[in-house]
Amino acid sequence: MATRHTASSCFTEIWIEFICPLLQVQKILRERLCHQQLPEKPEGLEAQHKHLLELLKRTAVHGESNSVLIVGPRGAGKTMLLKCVLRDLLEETEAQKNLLQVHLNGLLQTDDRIALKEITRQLHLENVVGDKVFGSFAENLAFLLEALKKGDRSSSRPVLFVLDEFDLFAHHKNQTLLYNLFDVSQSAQAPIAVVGITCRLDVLELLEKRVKSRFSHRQIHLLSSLTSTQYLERVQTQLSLPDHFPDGQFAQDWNDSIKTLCRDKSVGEILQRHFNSSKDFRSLHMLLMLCLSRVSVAKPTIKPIDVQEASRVCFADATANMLRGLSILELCLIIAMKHLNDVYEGEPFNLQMVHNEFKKFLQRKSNSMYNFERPVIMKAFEHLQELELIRPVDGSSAKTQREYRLMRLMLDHSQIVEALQKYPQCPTEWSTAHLDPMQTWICCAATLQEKMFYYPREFLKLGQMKGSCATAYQIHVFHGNQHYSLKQGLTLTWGKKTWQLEWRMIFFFFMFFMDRCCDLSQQKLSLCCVAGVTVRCRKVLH
Amino acid sequence: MAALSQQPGYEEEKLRKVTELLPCRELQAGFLLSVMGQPQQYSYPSIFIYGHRASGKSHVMQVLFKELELPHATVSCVECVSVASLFEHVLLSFFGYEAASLLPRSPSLSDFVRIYRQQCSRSPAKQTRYIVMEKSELLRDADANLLPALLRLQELVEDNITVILLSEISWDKFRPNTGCFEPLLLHFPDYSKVELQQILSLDRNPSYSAEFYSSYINILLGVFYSVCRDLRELRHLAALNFSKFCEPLAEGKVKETDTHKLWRNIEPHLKKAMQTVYLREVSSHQWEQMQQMEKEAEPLRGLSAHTHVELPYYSKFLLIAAYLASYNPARTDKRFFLKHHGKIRKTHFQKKNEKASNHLLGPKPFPLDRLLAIFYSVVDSRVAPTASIFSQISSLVTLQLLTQVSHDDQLDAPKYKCAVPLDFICAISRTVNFDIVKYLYDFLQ
Amino acid sequence: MKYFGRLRVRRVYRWSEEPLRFNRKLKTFDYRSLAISVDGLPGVTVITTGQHILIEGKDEDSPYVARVMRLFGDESGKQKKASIRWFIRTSEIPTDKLKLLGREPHTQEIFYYQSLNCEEEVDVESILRPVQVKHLDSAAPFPDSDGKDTLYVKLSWDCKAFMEVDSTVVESMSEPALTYSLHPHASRRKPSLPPLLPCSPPAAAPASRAPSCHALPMPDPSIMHRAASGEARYTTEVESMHSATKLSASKCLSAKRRNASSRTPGVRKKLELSSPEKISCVDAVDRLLDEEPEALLAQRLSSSPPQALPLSHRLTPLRKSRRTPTSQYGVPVSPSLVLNRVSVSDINGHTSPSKDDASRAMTPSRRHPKTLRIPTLGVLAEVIDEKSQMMPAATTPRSSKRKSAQLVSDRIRKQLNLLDNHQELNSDCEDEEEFVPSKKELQSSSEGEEESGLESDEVEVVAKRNRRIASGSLTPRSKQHTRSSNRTPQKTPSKKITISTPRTPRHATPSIPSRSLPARQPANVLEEARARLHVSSVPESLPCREQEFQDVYSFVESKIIDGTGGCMYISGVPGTGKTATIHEVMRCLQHAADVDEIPPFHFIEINGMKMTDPHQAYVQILQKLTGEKATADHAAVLLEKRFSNPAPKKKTTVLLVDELDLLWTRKQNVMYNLFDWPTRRHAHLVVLTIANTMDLPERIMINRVASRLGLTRMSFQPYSFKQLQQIITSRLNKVKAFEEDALQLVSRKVAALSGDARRCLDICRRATEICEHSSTTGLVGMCHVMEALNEMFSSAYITAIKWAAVQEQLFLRAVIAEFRRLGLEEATFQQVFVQHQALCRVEGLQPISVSEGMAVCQRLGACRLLLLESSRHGVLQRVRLNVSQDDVLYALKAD
Repeated sequence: MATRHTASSCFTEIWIEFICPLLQVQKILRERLCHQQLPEKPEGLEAQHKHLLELLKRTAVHGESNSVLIVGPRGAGKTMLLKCVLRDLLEETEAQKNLLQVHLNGLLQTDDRIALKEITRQLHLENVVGDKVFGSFAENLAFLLEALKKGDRSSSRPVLFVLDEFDLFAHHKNQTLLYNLFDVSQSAQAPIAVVGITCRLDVLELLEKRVKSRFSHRQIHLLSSLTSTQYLERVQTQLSLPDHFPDGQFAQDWNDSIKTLCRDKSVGEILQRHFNSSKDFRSLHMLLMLCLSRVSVAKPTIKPIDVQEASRVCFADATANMLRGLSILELCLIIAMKHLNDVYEGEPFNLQMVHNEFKKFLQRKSNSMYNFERPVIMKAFEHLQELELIRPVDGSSAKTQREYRLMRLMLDHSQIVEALQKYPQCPTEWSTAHLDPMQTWICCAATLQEKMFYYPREFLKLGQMKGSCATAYQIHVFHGNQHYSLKQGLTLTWGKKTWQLEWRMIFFFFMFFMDRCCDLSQQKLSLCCVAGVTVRCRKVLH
Repeated sequence: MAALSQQPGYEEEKLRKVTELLPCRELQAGFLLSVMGQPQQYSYPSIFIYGHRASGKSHVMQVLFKELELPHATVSCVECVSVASLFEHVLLSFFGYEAASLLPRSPSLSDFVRIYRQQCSRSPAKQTRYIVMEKSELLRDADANLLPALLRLQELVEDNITVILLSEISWDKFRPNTGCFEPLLLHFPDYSKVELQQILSLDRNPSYSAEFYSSYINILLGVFYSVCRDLRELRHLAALNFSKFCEPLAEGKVKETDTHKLWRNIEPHLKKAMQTVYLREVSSHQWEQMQQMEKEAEPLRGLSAHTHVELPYYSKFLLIAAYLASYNPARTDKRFFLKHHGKIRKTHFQKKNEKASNHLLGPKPFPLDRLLAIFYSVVDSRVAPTASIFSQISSLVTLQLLTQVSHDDQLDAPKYKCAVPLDFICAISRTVNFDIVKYLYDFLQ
Repeated sequence: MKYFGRLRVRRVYRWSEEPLRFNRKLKTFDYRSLAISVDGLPGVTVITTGQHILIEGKDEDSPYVARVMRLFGDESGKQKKASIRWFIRTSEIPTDKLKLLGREPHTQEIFYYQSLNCEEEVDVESILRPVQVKHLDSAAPFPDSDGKDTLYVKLSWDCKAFMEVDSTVVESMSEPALTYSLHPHASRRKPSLPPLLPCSPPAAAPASRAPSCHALPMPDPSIMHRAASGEARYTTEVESMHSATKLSASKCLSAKRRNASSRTPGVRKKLELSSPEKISCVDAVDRLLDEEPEALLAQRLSSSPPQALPLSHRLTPLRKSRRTPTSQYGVPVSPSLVLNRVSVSDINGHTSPSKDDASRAMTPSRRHPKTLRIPTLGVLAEVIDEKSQMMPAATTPRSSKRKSAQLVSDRIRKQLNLLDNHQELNSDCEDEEEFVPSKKELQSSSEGEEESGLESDEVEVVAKRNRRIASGSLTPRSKQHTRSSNRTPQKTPSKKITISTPRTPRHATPSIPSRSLPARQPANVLEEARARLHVSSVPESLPCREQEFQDVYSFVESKIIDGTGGCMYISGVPGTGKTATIHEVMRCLQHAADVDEIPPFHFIEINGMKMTDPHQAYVQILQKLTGEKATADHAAVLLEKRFSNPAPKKKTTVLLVDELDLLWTRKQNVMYNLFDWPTRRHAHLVVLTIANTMDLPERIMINRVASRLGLTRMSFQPYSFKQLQQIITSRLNKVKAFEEDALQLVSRKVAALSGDARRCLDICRRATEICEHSSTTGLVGMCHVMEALNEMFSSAYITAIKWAAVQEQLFLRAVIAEFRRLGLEEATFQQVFVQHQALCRVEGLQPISVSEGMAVCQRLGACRLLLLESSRHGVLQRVRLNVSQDDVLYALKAD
């Protein structure tokens, strides 16, 4: 079987080389996007690159001990930076001949014993045979310290220690390893450079004070200050093919198509959205990867639609997706819980209450579905718990019966709404009964009140809103047979809550609610139907 | 979206085979393949696939890898009790026994990575290697470093490898506290009603016509779909009840086409099935027996079967007393159990709001003496507090009709809770013709 | 002699007469004779200086043999001590060493024991009784034993080889240590004893003595006395100049210092510090010496030609030559001599010719050196006193034509001109810059040896190696290490086996491979400055800690001098030079010990952070003490035994315990032992403990431990900005790289924050780098320092928020808004998310899905701008800020 693998694969390789440039494209771009292939030079990190390179060079050439931390959020290119620096460093023979490297990763070397063995292994000290390391933990430590102590600045080879996920090393017992490494780096023993990589800004607080004192407080921060235009350029460079591409003509076309793609408006918006949500390049790579995966022989370029699709996949709300797959019974239970949450301000509930609520609802509403046996409901309930859509309250003991165990709903209102809209043949008439729009308005309005209080800027915005259109409308909401009309100083009561609302606010949040549920353009409010709520807006003439 | 059939780099006929092996999952499989790319190309380091149970996650993986002959290791996190077994399994399925034997006794992640590197430096990957972790939500309970390490395994072992996590839970609840390499998220939606019908119709009994079977499936779904969409469950139920469905046909009462009669015949049966087989209260074997017995027009033995528990006379009263004790507020005992309670006006006992209902909040613990007090007032004949009474209490505890809430160390004042539901206690009290509802505070009108 | 030991009769010791004189330095009275009376027995034995005595040893059958040099006691008269020279029995010499003797030792034979490593002061209580010792020429046969109590001395043993011993050591010049002449009635007083002045017949006198007598240029009594009293030392120096030439410098200094009146430790320190690498060189050599197993060496030498040997064995000539100095009247180094001596003795071992001609074979090579030596001694003495014109004196004896003789003589010449170029050094030996060239010259001169003989290449190798090590081990750390490795307790010779043969089960020698290309030396001023500012670079002196230095020094010194034990607890925040100071102290003391101002001692260091578990402390101490390896428990037992049992030849041990708090265990037995041992009577143990917190004893120690720690505490205050400034300036002395105010800024800033010297130096280093890049004026100015300070001290939070993505910033705002709404510092994600959505509206952004919001939130959590519950709680997970709200608002307002 293995032989057949090789045979087929090498055949395909030949095929790639000479016949299909598209596969070549896939190959190259995948290397970039999936395998974090190093760029020629780290864009936007030149300064840090220079700094680090100088530092390591001094260690390699002058035998000057040093210690430095590279700090930056995930996907900011810390490892990439280091790799680039090492690549450039090893181009110099002087460094390359001398430098010894030890690479550790906090994920792998989970305690000092393992870490020490790994170090000894990578340094090829004498107590290593093959890849077996002899001696106990204590002996290994003593041995390593001895070795480092023997060395001196001028004569022995400098050692580079790279500690990835540095913060995890700080959790080792007594931080023995860190202490000793830093101690060596601060005393005239074998010259070493300790480079830590971490994403935690508070990493220094993790260090014990004597360890901290031995660390030369050099930190290289990778806090990217890149703008959206640079981001766009980055995308383009990431997607475009290099010059050494075999099929020049194809490469030309491809790059042009990429240019046009990046110029496209919708694509621009999407990328802007990504940029807004995060600046790290890994997520970008994921997006581009998804786009790339949609390129096929039939469709040899990336179209805007691909980008849209990809971003849809990226931004999809996982929990809403899961909700969509629930059975009607389970969904009803969730709605019941939601209702309980609303009535008793998010206090925990148990199955009994939910069941009760559900029964009440069944009595109240249409007899569209017959009453379920309690055990069936129980089963549904437990399924929900398995899906971690509900979660037992920490305090509740296992001794209490299942139906009385207290639970919390782990869903946001918006998720439920979204799920209901997308839900196939959703029994609207009773699902919406629990999702009274007024509720949502009211809680939003409540939050808004504070916001206006705290944020004069937004208050100003609201003021403008009032000036522009707020006065122009008077709003009537018909829900079922109730009819709220929102006027000055309207008082609303729901559950136990009572609000004194300014109609301006309610108007604002009415709009907010409108285009949240069904996205319609703000200004022209016509007759529309949102989850069983009829809203009519009349122009009021002064 | 590139259709499954036209993925470059794979042989046509294989893909065709895959397509027919994966009904209603072409889209997902195609998407997956396009993300995986060609065997020798790099693939995304880690992919996270989530979807409801029995939405074909593992199945798709299995079929793809088996049919396309890709090097892969499939691990179910339920099976590997320790990381050791996980590592061993992976090494075994990629490099064979001698590699797996290299692992030390209690291997750490670094050992695994080291050995993996050695091996793959000896036999470099021509094709992308895949590790599939089923039920990966269990990884969160393993030691904290495992999940992040797996997510960036490609980087750690410097090999063309992709880790695929399968789970029922959304990725948001996975993220470790200091972040990690974000995997590629992929959702497997559950089968729609139509798809279910289509799939279920596949395993029809050849002796009957396709539309007959599909009509059966239709009825089945009509009953069960609103409750469960789990394909496995439905197939099980379908297999169980089909014989019943066919009975009238066998007896020649109805024709295949007469769907309505068939429906009237099977419908109550299915409802019953929902209350029994579906809940696993009876095994499928018992279920078939019950079907046989129905011929003798036995009374239905559904859930109500459980309400008949044979207890000694006093134990029944003890249980009733316990129920009253745990669902009535202590202050109301006077009113219920004192003689000449006629004087006291009911107005004192206006019910509080819904929330306060004890039947919602569950049983409250009560001390032993209160139980006994109620017991004596409830039971009509005079009973001496003999040892037998106490032994019966303890036996009720062992039957788990009562639960002892207070710790065992405090012997002087043990506290109990009544663990039986309302209908159960009603049934019990009916046997000793004691109208319990009169004595329950919640049902006071 | 048994019954003495058996029935433990109480003996009474008292001075038989008035003190002769009072020794100011040591506060002791010198006596001439000591009377021992045993109650129950009538007779009174009187011990006089110069007499041979038996000292109670481990077993009564073979008590130690020694010779009284001085008898003295303190003012109180309680302590009666005797300073002695040890003799060693054949039984005490390890059997494999006896091979070197090349013949069967006589039962009554003893050897003059000359190794510095056992203390020469014993309590008189341990004296059993006098014994008669006769000196025989090595050639002469043993007389049939006249009584069991007569012992015979032929050779001397320095735990490496046997050597001729001059009869004077044994018999004549009965009280060399004392300057007064013997009273005539001294012998009359104690008829019971053998005549103390045997005035050995010239026939019996060794051939080697005759020339030495008349070779003295002028019989100046003062010189005579000096030569007599200080022989050991001077010879040591002279020899060591041969062995490791650089050594001589420091020795010379020390010699000079000894003549000079006593100095304060401070001054010593200066002298000391001015030449650190020479000290380290001593140790380096020592280390080289103790690495080779003995037996191995011997057969190597006999079997294979030296050139063929690998480096480690080619060192052997050196070790020989190094050993000879420690012996009195040893032969001046010439590898040839050493070689042929050893080989000869080996030949005796294998083929057995009559040992006469063997010894005859030796004689020339032995005689000539002596003929040359004594004069040089005189010369040396002169030279050290005043500028000398002694060259002629040295050249006089160069008459013999033999090769070895020439070798030796030109060695002497070399050594002489070495000496006088030290002379002009001594005038300004404080200044190191001046010193360096002469050092070079020394090395060159040591290379000068290379034209002599076939074995020169070994010498060369050695020289090279020395230089390497000398340049290499600059720090107190490595110094301390080497010492602790070679200072091994030597209670009894039998112990020595464990030392001379490395018993480490692991054969691997830990080392980092040496670099293929040489390290580049600092090119410009800034690099120079950077090199000097590196924390590791050893300062010429350790400023701003004089007071602490004094205290520790006097503490340890006093303990060492009156061989008692004690503990000291030293606290202070990190980077205030605790460990460094201790190491300085130890270096000075060690030097003082080398020049015999104080009795020798071991220095051992352990560090709580450098062991995997508190109990490893035992293992490390034991290993550094004796080189043995043992499990923790076993080591504990051994140490317990070692510190609780009395042993006459025991040196004080100084134990430095760094990062004490890490030795804490639940039962605290490690700490307990550490503090309990010093209180034992026989454990000459001084424990110095270092930890960060001042009130450590109160906080973590249970009473029995704390009380044993005692009250001698000292706390190092953080450096003030002046001190920091001083430190920096002293570091880069003369290197003009910084502007004054820049330095001031740094030191002020650091002093305000932590007072951590390391921090200060690091900042300065960083500043130089920045200056280099900015490539402005050569000097490091304000701006650079400011930049460095910002880099190191400014927290990244603000910038992080400033550059965060829009949604992340929005989320932070939402968090604050929610906090203010709730009036709490904590909210669930759900609550915050509602706010977030509203804010999105307000900002006119597309609202984000919950998953996305969760991703944003957890991204913020990952870089610890937020503190989150575990993500399992989903939307219910609680959110906290890890930054102050004001910072967030400030950062957000900034853009």
